[in-house]
Amino acid sequence: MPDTPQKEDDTESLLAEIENLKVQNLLLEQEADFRRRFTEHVTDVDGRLRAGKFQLGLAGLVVLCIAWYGTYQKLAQQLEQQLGQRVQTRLDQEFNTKGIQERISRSATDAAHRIIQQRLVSFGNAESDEIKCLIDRLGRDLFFLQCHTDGGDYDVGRGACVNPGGERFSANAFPKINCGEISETHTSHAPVQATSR
Amino acid sequence: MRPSKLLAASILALLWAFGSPIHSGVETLSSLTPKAAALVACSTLSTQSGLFANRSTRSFDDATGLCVDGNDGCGPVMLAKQALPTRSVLSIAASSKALLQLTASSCQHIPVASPPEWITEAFWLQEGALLGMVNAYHGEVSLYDPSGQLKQRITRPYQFGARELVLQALVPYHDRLLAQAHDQERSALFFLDNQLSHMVEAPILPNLRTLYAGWVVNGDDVVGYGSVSTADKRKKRVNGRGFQLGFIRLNLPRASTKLVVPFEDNDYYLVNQQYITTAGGNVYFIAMDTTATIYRLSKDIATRLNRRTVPDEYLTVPALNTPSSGADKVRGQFEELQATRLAVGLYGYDNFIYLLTRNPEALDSMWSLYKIDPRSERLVGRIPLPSLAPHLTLVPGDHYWLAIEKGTVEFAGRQQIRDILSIPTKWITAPEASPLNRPSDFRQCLSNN
Repeated sequence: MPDTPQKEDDTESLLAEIENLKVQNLLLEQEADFRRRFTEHVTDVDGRLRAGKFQLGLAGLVVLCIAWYGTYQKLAQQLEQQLGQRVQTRLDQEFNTKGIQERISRSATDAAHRIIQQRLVSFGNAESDEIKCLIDRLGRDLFFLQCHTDGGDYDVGRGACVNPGGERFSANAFPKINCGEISETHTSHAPVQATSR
Repeated sequence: MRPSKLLAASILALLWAFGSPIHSGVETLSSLTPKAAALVACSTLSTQSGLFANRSTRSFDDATGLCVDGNDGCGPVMLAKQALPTRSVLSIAASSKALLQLTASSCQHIPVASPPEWITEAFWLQEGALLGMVNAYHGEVSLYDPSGQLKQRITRPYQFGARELVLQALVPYHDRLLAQAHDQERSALFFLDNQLSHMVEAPILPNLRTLYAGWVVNGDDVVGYGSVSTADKRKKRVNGRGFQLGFIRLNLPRASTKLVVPFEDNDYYLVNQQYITTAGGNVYFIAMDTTATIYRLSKDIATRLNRRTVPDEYLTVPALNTPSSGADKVRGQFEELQATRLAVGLYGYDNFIYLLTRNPEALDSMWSLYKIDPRSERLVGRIPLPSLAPHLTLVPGDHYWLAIEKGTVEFAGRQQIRDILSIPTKWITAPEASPLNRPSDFRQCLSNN
């Protein structure tokens, strides 16, 4: 029995198998290439997504902050205004007019000074001098501040507040405690009697 | 010591040694009360030593009634502790005046005994004899004789009915004094007698809002920098405050207020400098804008004097940069002033006005007085002042001009006052012949310091 056709068949079969393998290999290569590219793409997309997310998150945060700031500040201002109005209303109820406020302030200052003066008696002369001078300085600073708050100017020559805003004249009303006065041995303490017309 | 001083001192020492009455002031002692007589005696002794030794050795302690510091063997004089009679002020002045004339031919630096801490106003209560100084911060008036001895100091507020008034300024007005005083509510003008005891309220001046320190009296008028209420509703709306700043004239008999020159720039009128004065029946003031301009106010008409009346180097007025925002900040403000070339005062005597200037960079003298003839509107001459003091207050007088030498400002209301520089009036009024324009005499005056 002759075996030639069998050999040819085998060869063809092997060639077909090789072709098949080549195709499979190509396919595999293509698949691998696809996977690689896909992975790259996925990585790229992931990266982009992450960057996008971050930017988006940042933008979101900014927007959020602005929104928070706007609403919070507005709210805080509103609250403050409401509180201020309530406080002012309460103060107005309590101290009816500005004049009364001033009088109360003055009385409080006077009372404080009286107390301080009384307490000073128990101190030695040096401490007393020091404290009196301190009070003097503080009084002047306070007067300055009050003058400027009122929109006035300070006349250094005579220690007076001039041209305060509004229609009122504010005389120099700070406490007249004199640092030099205490150490002056030649000061005349004779009371001055003046008569009205 | 100069030979003339030595000779005068020797004559006085001889008179003293042989028991002669010290001065004509002593002759009147018997007619005074014991306290006043002792005060005069004390004053005479201290004046004597003060003038010739150029330092004070005696002073009258009003609280204890003692003539103190008797280090020349005379010992203290014990006095009766009774109220000082009002006429004693003038008696002291009379005794001091005679002594003052002995040294009217030279300049002197006289130490001030027990000086005030601040000077708002300084004036002759009696020409050449009794110098008044007002310290508005403590509402006190101090009276000194020309030898620098403290004669009287009033520190208590004035009782005016139920009101307690604190003095802010005091200026001679006709035969009495015009005072600016305030209580807790407001500031107002008052008449005060020469004994500083009897106070009468001056007429209330309509529309007067504020009168700054440095106002002057001219006849019946008071002229100063300050503010008046604005009746103009439109103006009120514009500045929103209801007053106008500027130079104002107040007439006391007519009780009228008039804004003569509106002037908004008030910086230099807030720093205790004298920019308003009188001479020959007119008022003169300097408008301290960006340039210094002298105005003459005759009745209600203000006329700008020729620019040549202000020396070129003092025409420009720099802006004050240090903000005045607290008592301690005032120090910085005055330090800035000390370092600035500036016209710092205007003083009148006879028919002339005198511009006081400070030039920190000047080689010959930091302080100068420029004599100005306001009628011909020209500068007459310059007199250098022999003082190294950071600040000066001048008091013109017939025999002497006094320059009160003030130290640096520590804070508002406090600066050291040590000396009074006395300069014979003729040295000021005749600049071309003034010994102060001769380097040797100028140096001599300066070294007397």
